[in-house]
Amino acid sequence: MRNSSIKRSIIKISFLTLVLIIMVIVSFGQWPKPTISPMMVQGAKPTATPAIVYPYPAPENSANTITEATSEGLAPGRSDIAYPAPATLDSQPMTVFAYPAPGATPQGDVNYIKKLYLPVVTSGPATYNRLAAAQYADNWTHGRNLMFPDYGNEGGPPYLPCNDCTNFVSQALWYGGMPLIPGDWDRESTNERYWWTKFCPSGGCDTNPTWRLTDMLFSHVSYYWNWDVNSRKYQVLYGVSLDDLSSYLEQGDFILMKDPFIQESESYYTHARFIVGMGYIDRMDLEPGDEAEEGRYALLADQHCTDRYHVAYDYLLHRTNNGIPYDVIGIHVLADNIQ
Amino acid sequence: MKKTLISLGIIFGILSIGLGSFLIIRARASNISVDSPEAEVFKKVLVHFSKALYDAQRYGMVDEFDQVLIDRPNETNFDEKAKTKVSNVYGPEAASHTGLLSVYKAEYASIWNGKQKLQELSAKAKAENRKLTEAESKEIAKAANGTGLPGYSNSDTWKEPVFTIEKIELTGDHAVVRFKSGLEEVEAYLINIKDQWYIYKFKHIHSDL
Repeated sequence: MRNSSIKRSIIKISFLTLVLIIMVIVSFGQWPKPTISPMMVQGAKPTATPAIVYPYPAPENSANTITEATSEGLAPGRSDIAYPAPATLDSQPMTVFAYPAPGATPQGDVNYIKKLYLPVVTSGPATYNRLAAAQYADNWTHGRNLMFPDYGNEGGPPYLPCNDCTNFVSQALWYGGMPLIPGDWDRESTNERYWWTKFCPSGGCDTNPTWRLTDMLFSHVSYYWNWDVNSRKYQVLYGVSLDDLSSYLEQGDFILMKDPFIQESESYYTHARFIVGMGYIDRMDLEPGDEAEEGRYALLADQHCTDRYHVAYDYLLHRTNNGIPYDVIGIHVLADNIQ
Repeated sequence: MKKTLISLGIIFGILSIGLGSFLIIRARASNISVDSPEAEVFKKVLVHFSKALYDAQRYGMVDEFDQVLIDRPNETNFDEKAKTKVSNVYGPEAASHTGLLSVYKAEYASIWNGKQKLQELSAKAKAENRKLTEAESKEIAKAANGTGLPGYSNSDTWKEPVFTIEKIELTGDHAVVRFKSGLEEVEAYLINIKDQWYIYKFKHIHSDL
């Protein structure tokens, strides 16, 4: 009886030890590297010709079609106006504008803010001043105007990533005479109808989403183009390819773009550039290896994050994304209808 | 009998330690060399996604996203606006599990629909020698489901991309691949289902644009 009990124990011990050894081998041997066989590589490139033939008109045709069909004050010509540009970063003005007026009441007073900003809406110029907008963009490409909230600097602190591109475009639009559209004063509001900033340092120093977020700015301009056609301030250049945009855009317009490889949230457009007119590409903000671009006559743009002064409007957008171009949409300001 | 029980107890203890070690190791992430054959699998997933994007942009072929993306609503953070867009294209049922796949499909299906409508109504207006009417403009916007209808050059052709994969981290059947796509540094989150890797989330790290 005793012998059989010992035998049973030995058998159990042997079996369990074997299981343990197998588990240890599995644990420390092959695993955790997964076995990845070629069979796991899904998605062999489709070789079949797409069933749907791309039916959209050729760029020339699409451009013509849109121009003839929808233009409202669209000016295909561009402003080849030469304007003084800062030669160096040091020469750029860093003036803090004397606005709001001296004696302004403390921030946070909603009534005060309304009183302060409502007149801006009704007293702005009837015509958009493209030159003023472009000059502002040029002057502040490498600076941050303390009159407005700052959404990040290159080389800034880690807690403040550089997300200032749309804020920069909005500032230039405002300096061109685009009137603020005060609204519900909710800085997180998704109402695309409004577009405002509360000026710094004493006006509240804030913005609403359509002022600072690229995708919301797009919603804003789309709203006035598609749904409030009686007060169209912008033309959304639907379906115009990146190359063809140069025929539509002029000084004071802007473009919105997105790397289609990134879809973190619903925010579709993630970056904005401001068009400053025709001119010669500056070398200041070209990437290493792009020196040959310097001096080329092109439609120029300024942008924040990365701060770039007088680069081609399509700079870097063709060769990025490994064969997948950025999704780019052009926004043309309808200069005579901004009120 | 007592010795037998003690032996079994010891063995049980050892087995428990072994099992615990196994589970801990299994749960721990491990890095894969970006030059290893395993890394090629992930490169091919990214290449495939890139091709799916191209076909969606040019031909409206959004179903190809099914092969490379997947919805994992609990892992992503799409808002009501995204769900509305998905609902408008694929119905409320699809909107209830909105994830990366359905967002991409809804986005590019909307762009395609909007372009078709733009083309149709622009041609009609041109034939009648007039501008688009207000109603037609709204019809286009509605067909586009709020998207921007970006244009794509016909001169662009598909080229297999070259990704710079910077890091691959494996945790069980999940992987995080950090890569450089052109000027953008991105993390792709993948899950392995039935021997296929699907991307369920992107995270933007940095842009040089």
